Amino acid sequence: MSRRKHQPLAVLASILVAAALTIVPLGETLAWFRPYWMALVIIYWGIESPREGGLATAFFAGLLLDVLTGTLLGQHALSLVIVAYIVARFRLRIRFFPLWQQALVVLAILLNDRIIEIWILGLSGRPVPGWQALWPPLTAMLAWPWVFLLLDEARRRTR
Amino acid sequence: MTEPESHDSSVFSARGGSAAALSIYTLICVVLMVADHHGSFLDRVRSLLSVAAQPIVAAVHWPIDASRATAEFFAEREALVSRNEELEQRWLLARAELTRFAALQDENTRLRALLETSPRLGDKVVIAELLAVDLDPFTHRIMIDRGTESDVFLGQPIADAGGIIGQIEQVQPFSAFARLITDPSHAIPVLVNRTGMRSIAYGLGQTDLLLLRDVPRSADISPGDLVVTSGLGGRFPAGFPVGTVTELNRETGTPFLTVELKPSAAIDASREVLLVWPKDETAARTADSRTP
Repeated sequence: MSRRKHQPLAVLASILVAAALTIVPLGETLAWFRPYWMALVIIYWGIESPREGGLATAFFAGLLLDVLTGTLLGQHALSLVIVAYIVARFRLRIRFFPLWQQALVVLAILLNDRIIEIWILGLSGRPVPGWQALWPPLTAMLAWPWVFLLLDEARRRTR
Repeated sequence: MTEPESHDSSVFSARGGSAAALSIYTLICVVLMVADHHGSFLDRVRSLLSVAAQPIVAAVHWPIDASRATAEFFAEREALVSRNEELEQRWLLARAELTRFAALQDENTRLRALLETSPRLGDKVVIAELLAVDLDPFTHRIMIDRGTESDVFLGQPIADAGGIIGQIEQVQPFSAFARLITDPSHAIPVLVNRTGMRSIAYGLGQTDLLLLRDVPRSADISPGDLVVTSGLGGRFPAGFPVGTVTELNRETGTPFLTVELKPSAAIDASREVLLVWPKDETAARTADSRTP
């Protein structure tokens, strides 16, 4: 269908923007609250356009983050693939939730993600973050409605 | 309109959410992580990917860099003149110090020749710019704008005007990641300049604090002492300032002191860092074939 032609472009653009937002300098205190932008983008496309927002997209977006931030190759990839899987699994339910309920789902998914991340860091013998690690999922929850509306608008314009 | 679409995509959602796909991707990721953690087979892959990702870094770094540059461009003339004067004075002082230092250096080489030890001076130094990007706030790492193209190597020490900042942890063609000495997983061999007592300075994850653990209670150490790199281990060249002693903590029940240091380098304030090529670079390189 021709109206779907530009969708991959919108997905790619949003992934690049999320990657840039991940490394934009925020200063020492604000950096603790930085939401996991890439996860929000992956969740959005997972809900709205499973064709592009699948596990493969999540995997490559994760690899991009790994190289950008110098983490273990595959660390962000695994985290995002799991996020995308959970979204795909419950897509039909999440899709018709009101925004605030979706935000709660986002919180749950990202808390789960944190547990997996801490597990990976622990296994590889790297220092494990403290309680501040719980802030980003909370700010991501608050950011979700805005990200959703913004991406919805962008998607509507590009197709 | 929405009916057929949702029906259509539910097929995809079933496919996209299949447990088989998840396990395949998980397997790939785990293999990647294990390979990355245990060896350097993935360095080439990482280099290639990092070059592809470089435009994103540039897109984030350049606007910030440009805004700094414009701010400097439009700075008041008076401020510039006074700053220039101040710098000139400081330069004069520094030059006077340097001439004295040169004499001392000569004397040092002579004495070392008498003692038949190798002179250890003349490390090569190059300035690198910090890229204005944030990494994970839970680790103390920075990204600099030089990589293998500028001959940066793994484990290379970096410093600023004040002292040691950290060491290179990952090298890519045009950029490199460095771990700071304040990172909780970092430790650096040091000695107290006044007494020559050796110890190890650990990072704690705070930008203004380093710790010497297990210092004997009888040790001759007091607040204000300068702590420098000892050069043991072959990674950091000897004699670079690391920190000054601020506090001694006697912990009850142990025969040891823990000593708090304030880093000499402006860990969280510098925009430029010095890459140091130690004189006996080959030794440093072989010492660093293992990742930190």
